[in-house]
Amino acid sequence: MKNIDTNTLSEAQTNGAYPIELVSIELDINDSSKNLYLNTGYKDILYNGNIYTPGSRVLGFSAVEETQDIKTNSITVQLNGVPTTIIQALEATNVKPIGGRVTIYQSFFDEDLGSVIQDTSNQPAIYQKWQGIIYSFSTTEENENSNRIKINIECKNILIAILDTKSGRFTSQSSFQQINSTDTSMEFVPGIINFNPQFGKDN
Amino acid sequence: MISKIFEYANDVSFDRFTRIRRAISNSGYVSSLKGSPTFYSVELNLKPLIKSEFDLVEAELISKEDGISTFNTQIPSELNIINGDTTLTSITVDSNSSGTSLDLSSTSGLNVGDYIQVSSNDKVYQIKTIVDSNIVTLNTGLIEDAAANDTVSIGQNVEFKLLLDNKPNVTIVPGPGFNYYQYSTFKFREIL
Repeated sequence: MKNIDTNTLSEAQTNGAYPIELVSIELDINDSSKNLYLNTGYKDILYNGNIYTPGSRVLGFSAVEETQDIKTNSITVQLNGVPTTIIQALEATNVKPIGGRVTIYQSFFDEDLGSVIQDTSNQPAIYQKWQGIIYSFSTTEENENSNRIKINIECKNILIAILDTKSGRFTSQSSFQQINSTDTSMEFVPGIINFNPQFGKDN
Repeated sequence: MISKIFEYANDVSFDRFTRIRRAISNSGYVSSLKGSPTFYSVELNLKPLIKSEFDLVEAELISKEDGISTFNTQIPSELNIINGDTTLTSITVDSNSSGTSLDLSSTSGLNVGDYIQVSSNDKVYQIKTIVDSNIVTLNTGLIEDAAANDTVSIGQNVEFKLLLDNKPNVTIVPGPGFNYYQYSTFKFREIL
C-alpha cells in the first residue's frame, strides 16, 4: 500500500503547491545523451542525478491508470516536436525508440519556495507513478492556427514485454543456434522438410 | 524598446491570468488552488494608420518571421497602466533569492502593485507586499533564481516578452485623398 508522507500531504492541502510531472524517456540506459528528462513545471529539477528541464516540450499525457489488476495499461505522451533535440533523439537511425523506457513521476512544486516540496527526510518528494516501454511513436503536423508539430509516444507497461515473448524455439537450425552457435540438433531438418512418406503403400 | 504596434495603440485591455483548479462541493465548500505562474495578456486596437505608419507596423511583423511572433517591448507611458517609479534605477538584488521572496538593496520608493523585472529572466512581476526595507513578495514565484547584484527594472522600464496569439488582418479605409489602414485586434500573451 502506498503512503504519502506528512510533508507532501500538508503541502497538497495548502495554496502554495501545485502538481507537476517529471518524465524520463530513456532510449539507451548506457548513453545519457540519447535520453530526455522533462518536467511540466518552469524550473530545472534535479532528481536521481538527472536534470529534468522545463519548457514547452511536454504537451500532456493521457490518463494514467493505477491498478492492482495484472493487466496491460497504456498511456500516450504528447511532446512538442519543435526542438530539434527531441526529433533527433526519436528519429535518428542509430537510436531505436521502440522499447525505450518511459517513467512518469509525480511531485508538487511550491511557488513560494521556488522548489519541489521535500519529504520528511528532506529529499525532493517525487513519486514514480507509472513506468512502461515505448510501443510506437508518431509525428503529426496539424493544420491548426498554431501549426503544431506533435510527437505522440505510445507506451505500455512492462507487462506487455512479458506477454509478447515467445516460449520455446522453432525447429530450425537457425533458431537453435541463436543460443549455441555450434548446436547441430536441427541440422537434418532442411533435408526432410519435403519428406512425404506414404505408409502402407507398395513401392 | 517600444514596439510600433504598442506605440500606435488606441485602446488597450491588460489582464493577469493564471490556471486555477477549482472545485465546489454539493454543500457549498470551495477549493481554489493555483495551477501555474501568473502571466499577463494584452489586447490592442490600433488607431487608423496612414501609409507610413502602416509600413512600420508591417515591417515589424515581417521581421519576426511569419508565424513565429514574439515581441520584447515596453508599454508606452501614454497608456498609463504600468505602475512604478522609473527613476529607481539604483536598486539591485541584494542576495540570492528564489520563490516569491525578492531581497533588494532597498525597497524605498516601491509600492504594492509596482511592476518589477530582474535581469536574470524576461518574466515581469508585480510587488504583492513590502515585507521590510529590503524584502518584497512577488505576485508569482521567480522563474529563475535572482543572484546578488542582478539589476532590477521598475515600472515603465520593464520589458514584456509577448507572443502574438492571432494574425490580425488589415482593412483599407478610404480617407481624404489617401487611405487609412485599420488592423483588427492584436492579442498578446506573456510567455517564458
